[in-house]
Amino acid sequence: MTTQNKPDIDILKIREILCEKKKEVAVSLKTCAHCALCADSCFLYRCRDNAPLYMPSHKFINSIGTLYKKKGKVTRAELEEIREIVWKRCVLCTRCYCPLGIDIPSLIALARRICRSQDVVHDFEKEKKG
Amino acid sequence: MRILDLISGPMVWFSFICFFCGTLYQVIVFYTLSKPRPRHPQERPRPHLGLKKEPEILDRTSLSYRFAMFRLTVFGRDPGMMIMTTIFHVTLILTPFVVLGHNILLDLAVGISFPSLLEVATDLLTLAVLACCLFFLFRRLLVPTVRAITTPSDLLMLLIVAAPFLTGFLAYHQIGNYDIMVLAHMASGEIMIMALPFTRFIHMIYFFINRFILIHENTLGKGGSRVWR
Repeated sequence: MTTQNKPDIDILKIREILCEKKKEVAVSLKTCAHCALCADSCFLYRCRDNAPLYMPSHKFINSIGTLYKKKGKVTRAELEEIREIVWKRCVLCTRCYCPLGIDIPSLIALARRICRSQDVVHDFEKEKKG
Repeated sequence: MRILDLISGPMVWFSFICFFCGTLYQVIVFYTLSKPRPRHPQERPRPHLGLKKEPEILDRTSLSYRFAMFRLTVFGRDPGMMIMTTIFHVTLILTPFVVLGHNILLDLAVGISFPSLLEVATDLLTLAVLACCLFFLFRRLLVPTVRAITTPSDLLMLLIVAAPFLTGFLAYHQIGNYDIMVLAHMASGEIMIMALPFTRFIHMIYFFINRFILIHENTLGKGGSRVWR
């Protein structure tokens, strides 16, 4: 199924999921001091020539952070971008370390759940074929 | 009421009330978002199994092992940043308490005061805070990882922190208009105190929560007692 053929984004459903963890997301986004000290704890960041895109904080700010700030009002293209972040740039190994105690894996998992609710998932078959 | 009277009177109390109530609120929020858990559930004594502890292959007390482990920590990975951030946070919190002028005002207002340092020492502490602010500013603008997540609000936060120290320094040395500097010093200090529990500055609270309450491999003290829900 191509992106164009998919139905519109169900904003209410996204909001419903966001509301379940609203406080956690809000506190995490507010606590993040944007210090970038979490970067070195991500093995993908270190394997990909220290590319900032792989920093744990960059990943959660641009996935669940975007969804939270836009109150779920995202386009399918934006959700596809979030899918790239939460599946291709994170394997949920849960080894990321935030000096301020932010539970980054749970936030990425929440973003994945929201993507799944909108049928935006990582296509492993397509990935295999390249 | 003149603006000076407002800023040097009720606004001081209001900002401290905001700070203490806000901090309490944030601590309550943390407790509602986390749940208690025993420290090391896997290490409960199980004498009925009669298991003997395997001998350690690594000498965990050796200096080389400890050094190798230290290099894996945040401090070991980024020592420059960690030294600067430690100096910054210690001087940021300590300096206002040891400034002679603050203690005289405190003594006049409520009859208590903290030990004061020599004025030249507090001057140096203030300059240390400002130098660290400059370091963070350049780090934000020049280091690619930090620049990638920097937003205008981060620069505003830095300005809010630097403003009371800069204006205090200028007022003490009577550089510029003294009255305006003192007013700006008090107002910016109050803004910072009020902003602490409600903005990105809540990392001040969460640093201690993370280090002493949340359970993870780097928890200090008794090893923590809570995990996120």
